[in-house]
Amino acid sequence: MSEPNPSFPELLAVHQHRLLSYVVSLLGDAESAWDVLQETNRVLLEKRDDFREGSSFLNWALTVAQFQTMAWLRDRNRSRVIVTPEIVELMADDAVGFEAEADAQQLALRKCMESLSHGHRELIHLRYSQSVRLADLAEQTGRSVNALKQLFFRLRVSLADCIEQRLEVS
Amino acid sequence: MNDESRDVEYLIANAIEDARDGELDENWLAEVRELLTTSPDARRAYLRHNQFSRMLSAEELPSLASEDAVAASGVADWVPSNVERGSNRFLSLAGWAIAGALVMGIAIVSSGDRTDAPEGTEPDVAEQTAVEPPVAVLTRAIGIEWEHPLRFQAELGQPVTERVLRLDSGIAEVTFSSGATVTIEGPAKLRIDSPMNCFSMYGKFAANCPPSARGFTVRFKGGRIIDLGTEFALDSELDGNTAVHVLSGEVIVAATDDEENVLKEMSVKGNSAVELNPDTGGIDLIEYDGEAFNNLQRESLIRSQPIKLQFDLGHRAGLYNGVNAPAHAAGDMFAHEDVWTQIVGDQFGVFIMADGNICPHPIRIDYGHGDGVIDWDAAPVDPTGSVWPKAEPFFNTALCQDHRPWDFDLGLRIAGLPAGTYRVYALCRSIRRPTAAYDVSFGVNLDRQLDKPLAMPPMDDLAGAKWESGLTCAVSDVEVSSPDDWVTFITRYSRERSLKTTPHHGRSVLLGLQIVEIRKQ
Repeated sequence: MSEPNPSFPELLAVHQHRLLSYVVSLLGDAESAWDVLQETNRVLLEKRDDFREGSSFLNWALTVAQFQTMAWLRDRNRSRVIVTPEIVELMADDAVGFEAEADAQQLALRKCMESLSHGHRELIHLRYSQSVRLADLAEQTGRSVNALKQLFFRLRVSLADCIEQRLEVS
Repeated sequence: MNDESRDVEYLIANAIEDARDGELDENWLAEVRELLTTSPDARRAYLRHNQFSRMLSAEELPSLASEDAVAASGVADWVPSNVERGSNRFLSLAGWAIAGALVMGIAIVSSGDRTDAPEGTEPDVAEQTAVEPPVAVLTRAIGIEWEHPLRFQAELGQPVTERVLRLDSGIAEVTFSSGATVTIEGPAKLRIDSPMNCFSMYGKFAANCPPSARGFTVRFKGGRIIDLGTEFALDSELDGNTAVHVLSGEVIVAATDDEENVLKEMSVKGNSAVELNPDTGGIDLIEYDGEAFNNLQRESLIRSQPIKLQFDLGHRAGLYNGVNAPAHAAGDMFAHEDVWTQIVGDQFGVFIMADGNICPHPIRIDYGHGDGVIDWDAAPVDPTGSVWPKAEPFFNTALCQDHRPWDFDLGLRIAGLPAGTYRVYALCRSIRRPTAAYDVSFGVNLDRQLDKPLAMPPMDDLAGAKWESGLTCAVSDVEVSSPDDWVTFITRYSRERSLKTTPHHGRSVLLGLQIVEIRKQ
């Protein structure tokens, strides 16, 4: 017996992670991305009748998310956000490609993180999970902000190389 | 990747990191935007960086295999290692989505989709209780409304897992692991940086710093306050001036530039105030107005919060260890409300509330027993007999060992509570007859059981280690019209309803009481 088609709320719930991931890629700021996601969800619910069963829910939802991101940028002047609506439009298609690879990369990253020292993992965690400011990290670790920037860049390059190798092998 | 691409990658990475910290100036921003507009490489670098940051933020920190390694990073004593487990929003995304959808009126069938959560990473209870305290815990919430309620920004008694608290209205108190408390009145926005640091984005705040938090620092646009053992308050306008009122003690107030370099600093003592202007870098004396922050000060907060008391009626105070009791299971008390007062007979005076604050109302407690009518002058009979070891975690209390005959009623009454509605949770069991049933009455100024007492069923899980929903207790709401009213509790062993395996004798016992003032929203 075939599985019944998922309902609209189920589709919405299942794709929350990918929608957020997409908006974070565009905005670069998780706090703001949550605002946009909330608005995107509202619009998707309002327009649920426009969705045609059998078509790609994700493509439709990503398009709505792109326009909500642009609208959000137009409405606000946020210092934490670099991009403008025009730049978002330029890179919206590329962002879909990046987002689509994210799950495989995340799995590879998990393995690659194991190759780092615990101290480096702790620093990455504080910066990216805890959002601790570079200036605060610098103060607490006795390094300069620039030295930390270079360290994080090197770590990211090293992790990116590792991920690429792992994905090639698999 | 060639050198040129790497340069672009590095430039974009730095720009994004600066923007995350609010450090990107306008010229730099304009250059980056120009680059992003004209260069596909820059745009790809931008997307790659953001995607990578998101993935890094979703990674759990592995267990601390090597403490030396962490110490070498220089941050081990700064941010507790347990906090991050609950703080990563990406890890709980599915849960958020479902909760959000439910609020929106949608029924979600599948709730188990945690595709991004690593398997086996749920910390167990033992792990949670063994590690250091979280950076900050929400310890008071009075009429609060969060700016984004769907995100569940913080729950009373729980670690604050959001780095930025956005309060639309109401009053919230956050207690840092350093001991400092910061009270916020909405609309306000506060960023929690570490046990000794926070950043006021806008709104009214008051900070209380015990000696353990000396040096606690509140930063804001254009300045910072460093505590020297004190209580101070501030009112930050969004992108505007900040007024600092020192309620007691002394602080150092500093005006800072965009790089947070100190431009000017001064010491400010109790009952005085200054205002900082981020545009001029000036610090000006202004008229002190401590009264404007009265509602944020500790004493008034304690008076304005619901009264919660819990009594351990035995010789092992703290027997229930706070979170194991029925009011906690029912959500009327929270994990941080873990103080129990030991009661062994009549007592009166100042009591400590469940959250450790002194109860602002003097309380009287009166014990009694009797056959039908309670004699409030009676005292518990000295305990005799042995303790039944299997039941000890629940039943080893002094009143429990009151060796009254089994057909006696046992009573406890409490006066001093201000007018209001109180929910009373009572735990009554016998050492030797845990499968016994009880008749239980709650009310005001009672001297005997009600005509229709509550029926407390036998306990069916003698090996239970803590109170959970399903374990029996008696609960009732009681209306108090004045502090002279006695909130009364009476219990009696029920022969009729006790399990048939229970011999026809048993004692009326009272192990613990939890009293929670219920306020209508």
